Amino acid sequence: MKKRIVVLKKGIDKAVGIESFCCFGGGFILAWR
Amino acid sequence: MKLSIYAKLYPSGEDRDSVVLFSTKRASAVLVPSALIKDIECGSLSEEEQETLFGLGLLARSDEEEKQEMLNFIQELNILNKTLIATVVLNLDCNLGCRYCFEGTRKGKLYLSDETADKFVDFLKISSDLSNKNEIKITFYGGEPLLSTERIASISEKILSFAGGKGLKYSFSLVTNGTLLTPGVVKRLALLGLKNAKVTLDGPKHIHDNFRPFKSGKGSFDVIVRNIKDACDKIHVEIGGNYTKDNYREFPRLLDYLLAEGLTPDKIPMIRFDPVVNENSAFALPDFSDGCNSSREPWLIDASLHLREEILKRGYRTQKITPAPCIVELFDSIMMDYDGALYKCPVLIGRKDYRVGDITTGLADYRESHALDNWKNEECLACAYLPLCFGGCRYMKLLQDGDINGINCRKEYFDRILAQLVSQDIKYDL
Repeated sequence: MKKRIVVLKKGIDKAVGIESFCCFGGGFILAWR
Repeated sequence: MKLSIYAKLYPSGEDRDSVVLFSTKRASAVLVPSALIKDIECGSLSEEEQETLFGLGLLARSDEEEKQEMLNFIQELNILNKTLIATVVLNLDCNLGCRYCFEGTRKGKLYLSDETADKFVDFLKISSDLSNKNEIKITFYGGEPLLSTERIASISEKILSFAGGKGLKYSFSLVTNGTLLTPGVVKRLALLGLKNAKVTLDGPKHIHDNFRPFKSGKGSFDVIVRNIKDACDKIHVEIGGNYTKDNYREFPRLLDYLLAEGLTPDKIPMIRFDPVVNENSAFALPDFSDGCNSSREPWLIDASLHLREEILKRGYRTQKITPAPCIVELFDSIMMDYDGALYKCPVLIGRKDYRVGDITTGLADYRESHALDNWKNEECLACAYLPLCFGGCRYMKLLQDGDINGINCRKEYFDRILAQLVSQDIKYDL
């Protein structure tokens, strides 16, 4: 059967955590990982 | 299994029978036939399909379980975090005379003292909990941090002297106007842990030099570009730019200039443009009012999407759409003003109402004053944008309403922009 789901973006791995915290309404990001 | 509360459905743009499903909590996206959405509702997905979509955060077992997952989200991130982050205001002095300035009327010959610098290092060494950390990262900030190069070097030397013994890596970054980021300074500071500098170029030369001249009135653009060229193969140089409603259309010309000058995407890892924000507090410069006051201003949507596309289509990277809690939610992050006062957010530095202690006495309880649980209510938990927003920006709330209690809801903004941001992220593989 043909696969119906095409993954366009895998996104973040929850176990690793997110990449940034938001400062200044998004205008100033401190890289976290 | 059901569709996640935090999933958004958008037209694919390619054919009518397909849709894009985007998860705001994982920043994942899939292309599926519209019929598959009906199958989710009917519970008739294959096991493999369920597994794939659940793994990407697009399906959930129940709303209640998913809301509980979000309620625990920040706590989990804090547990996972192995980095102690500090932002240090070294001075409130500057060699530029920008038309707008975030520090506004607070600027002056105010510098971090020897005593406060030593207390800061002691604070890192003794007071902060380093037992579960493997790294210390500092952002040196100002004013202009490179007016305090000796201070950066001495603080870094002191941190390096104890960090290794505790099994900790140390690195630092600069938020600098770039005029003093000379080869000699970069070479010296790179040996002490300098990894990254965020430098500001406000559009092409004629605009930048108008907005960000030296105090003498002379333009700063050429000096900064020369420094970026010298520094970019030794450290990561990110370029930021601040636009207004009247000049944002000119900013792509800066990108073309950078490419022509050899500052190509392989040399500049990140470019981002943001609107100048008006200050309405006592710190605002009296002669500048061209900034914006809210993410709700209609022109901002067009401006941010247009500039993002211009950055991406030239091969540069910019900030991607991803969950981004407010920095005040990160326990192991602290900001110190030049006088030793502690804050939880860089843009709240200097606002006495939001001071959370000082470098001698340590941190006070800031949970209430910073409205830490402002988003823990049914309305926010049921909102698909919660993972991208977490109650919004406390500083924007302060600008709009005069205090940070309550939420700075960004639903209207995301309703208008997120589909196109997601489309750009997919198109350019961000």
